Amino acid sequence: MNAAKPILSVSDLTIDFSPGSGRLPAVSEVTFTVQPGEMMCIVGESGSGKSVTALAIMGLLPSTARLTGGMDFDGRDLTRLSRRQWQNIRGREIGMIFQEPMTSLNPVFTIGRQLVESIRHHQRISPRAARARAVELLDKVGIPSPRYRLDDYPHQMSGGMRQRVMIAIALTCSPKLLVADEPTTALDVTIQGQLLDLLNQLREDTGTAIMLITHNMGVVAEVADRVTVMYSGQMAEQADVMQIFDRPAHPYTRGLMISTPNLITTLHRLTTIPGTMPNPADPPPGCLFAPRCDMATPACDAGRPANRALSDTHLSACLRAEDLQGALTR
Amino acid sequence: MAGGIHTDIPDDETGRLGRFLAALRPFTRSLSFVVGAVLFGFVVLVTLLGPFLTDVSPSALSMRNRFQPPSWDHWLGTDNLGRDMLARVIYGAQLSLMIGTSVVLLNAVFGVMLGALAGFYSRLDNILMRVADALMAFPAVLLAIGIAAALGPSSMTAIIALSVVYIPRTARVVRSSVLVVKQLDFVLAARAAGATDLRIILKHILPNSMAPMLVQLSFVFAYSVLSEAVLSFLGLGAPPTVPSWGILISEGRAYMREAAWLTVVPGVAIAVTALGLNLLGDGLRDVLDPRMKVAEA
Amino acid sequence: MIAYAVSRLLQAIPILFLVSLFAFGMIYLIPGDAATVMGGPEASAADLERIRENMGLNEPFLQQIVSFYVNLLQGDLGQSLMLGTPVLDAIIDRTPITLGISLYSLAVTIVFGLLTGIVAALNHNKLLDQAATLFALIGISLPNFWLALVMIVVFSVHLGWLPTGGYVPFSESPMGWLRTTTMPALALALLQAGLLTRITRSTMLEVLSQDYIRTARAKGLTEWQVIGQHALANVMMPVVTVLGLILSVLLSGSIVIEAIFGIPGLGALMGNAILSRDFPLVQGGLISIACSLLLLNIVVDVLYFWLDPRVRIKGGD
Repeated sequence: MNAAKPILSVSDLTIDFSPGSGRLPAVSEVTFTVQPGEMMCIVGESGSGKSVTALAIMGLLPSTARLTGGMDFDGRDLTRLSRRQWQNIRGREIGMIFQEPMTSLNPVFTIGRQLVESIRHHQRISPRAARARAVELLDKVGIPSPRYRLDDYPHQMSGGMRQRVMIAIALTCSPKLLVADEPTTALDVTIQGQLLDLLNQLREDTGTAIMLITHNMGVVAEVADRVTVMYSGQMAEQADVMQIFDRPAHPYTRGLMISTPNLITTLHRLTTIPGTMPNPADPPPGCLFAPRCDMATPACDAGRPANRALSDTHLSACLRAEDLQGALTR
Repeated sequence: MAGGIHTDIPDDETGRLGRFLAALRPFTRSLSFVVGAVLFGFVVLVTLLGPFLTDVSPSALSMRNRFQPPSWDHWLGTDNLGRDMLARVIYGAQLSLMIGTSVVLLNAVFGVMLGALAGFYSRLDNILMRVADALMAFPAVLLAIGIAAALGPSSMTAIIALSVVYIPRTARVVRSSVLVVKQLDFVLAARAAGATDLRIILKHILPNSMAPMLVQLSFVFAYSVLSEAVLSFLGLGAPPTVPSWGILISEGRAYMREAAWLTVVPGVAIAVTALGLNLLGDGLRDVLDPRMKVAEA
Repeated sequence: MIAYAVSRLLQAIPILFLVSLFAFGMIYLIPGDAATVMGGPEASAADLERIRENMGLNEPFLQQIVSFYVNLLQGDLGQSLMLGTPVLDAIIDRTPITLGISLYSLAVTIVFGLLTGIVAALNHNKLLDQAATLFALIGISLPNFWLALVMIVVFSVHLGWLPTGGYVPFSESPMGWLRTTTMPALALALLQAGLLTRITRSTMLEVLSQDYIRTARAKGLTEWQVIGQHALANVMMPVVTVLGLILSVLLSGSIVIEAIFGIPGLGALMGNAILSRDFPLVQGGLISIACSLLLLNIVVDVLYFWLDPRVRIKGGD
């Protein structure tokens, strides 16, 4: 792993919900790190457990969730925080933005109020200074005429604008980590690009690390520094972005990349990964991906493959990672 | 919830009965529905079978047996004229249920019809809703009492008065539902296929507006039972010769000190019936409401 | 907002017209001879003729409607047969009494209903919630006049804490007023509080599952701020709409409750008028009450309009 100390370190994180979602936990022994100031993307389909992981890091899981494993943020153990301590960290040291900008802002409060509330909650600052700071933040996220937007209500803004406001709110106290759960999925494609650029720019300006959750490999290609691929609640692969794209070490990752439509090379039918995600009530005995994998061997069904380090920065949960990489090498 | 779609229908019961039973299953999951059904079912049962179980007449006087508190001989005691309270309460139930059922039926026919027409034809909507609003501007019980006073006390009066009061409300509920359903794509498709308005309303829109309608009808039944009690308490409902629950309470009022059960018992009967119906309504709403909240995962 | 209020008032005019029409038309519902019904079994032929003259029953139909409306617009609601005084005066006399009890009852309803609903929602599916839900259900299932009688038996007859009835004006003795109005207010409040609890609870549950509540928590706000500000602000609106219904139920209930407790208020007036077939009074009362409720509902609507920015300000999306 990198020599620098990670801002977030998750190890063997396992989360399940007590009125049981079958015997398959939502998240199972997931391990990854986020370095300070980097853009780490977590990729996976619906049901891969990526959102649950994000909520866990914010301490926003419902009370029916049970969590084991380690979550370490900036030297603090997140698994042992009191409610008070969580309230201190949320919004100040870890920020979060969500997928649905249309419903994530309170419809009966002005956005100015929602911003100022965040600012004044974590800092002792006068209302006027807070308003000035709010204007500053809106400007930073690229909202035109910020001073006049403070008194607008959310329904008066478009989805893209609302998402920018969410980002502004998340960044009020210059957090060390920003968790972004599919922030662009609900927006138009044209706006997506703008928003990603904005996030990247902010990251560079403020040094905030970003944990970006997405199901879109295109997004990953555009902004990621490092990537963690999740499948059905488990980690499939983790690597630098170039490594993931040049030499993927897990058949699922390869499948994801092949099935992403490409304007230039896709002239035939869309390629898909055959099969569906495992039924939580009846999971496969070994590697969860094995039933859908064209490289599966009997060894793959024997037991869950451990995370293996292929290099300093590259982890894979596939028994045949080297074979795959060898086959893909041009 | 994870997993695929399960079908619970056993192989040997795929007939109509089997499908009917399978359709009932989700209702059993709602505690409200089950308890409500049990309570109301109990009331209905007692009402229907009661006269066969007790051979005491509700109007049999017995001056020797006046003011008996509840005992083995008279489960609910006797009143100021020695009449058996249990018998009187049972006959009172018959009246309440009869009136309630009539009001609900009238609501089901006219309320639904008017609501569907208002929802479907926007020109009619305006007029119909104005009339409905005007009727609803009068407090429910007040209007019922007023109408009953004009028409003179009788069961029929109670039925008419309560229907006039509640039909606008039912119509509103149906109208809202129709307004939503008529925008849905399958209605457009039916229209494009050349279906007549009547056919669209009957075959497509109404079946899909069932849920709020059924819920509303349960509550209307409950309100009817309660309002009828008020009417007869004031002497505006069924004539005093028929022992309706409201009249029982009114008669018992004079003897509250000595014979409190005369007042308490009919009230409890009303409360149990209304409670059962309200629970049924809640249960129906729980089961039929498609806006299910998704659990966070 | 003024524009909205004005438009609602204008919309109410046709309804007011219909309302008065219904009230007017009531007389024609009476099977048989209206004058006989009104005069009662002991009226002499002269009495009946007087009634007919007063009510204008001898005149052609069209003329009756016209005079009715002419009088109405001048504020003349006719003479009460029972009291012999103008209807309007009788109503104005009694209104403050009913108003006082209604406000008392409303206060109890709102405080109790809101609190219970919120607490229930916050403790969803746990004991407090089930207790509150049960309580609300019982509240809407009990006949309130029966409850009043039971309360009298318990608190007046057996415990002797409160008088069995009567009314003491507040100006005469605040304590006396309190003693004579508490049971009526509570008997009325039960049904209303039940309704309010149910709607508050379901609205609160819905609001709590919304995304913006999750955002508020993600900002690190305390639970007090999340519930007390973000959630509550969104709950108030649907709750305000129920107020109209509650007011209506309140007036309905007053008729019987005032009769039971012997309170000389508007409800008792209406009750007596109806029972003695004093149709001018019934008509006048119905019109006054319905109009007041319509106006109150408009106030409620305007309040809602003011509270909900989505309705107030058109969005540009």
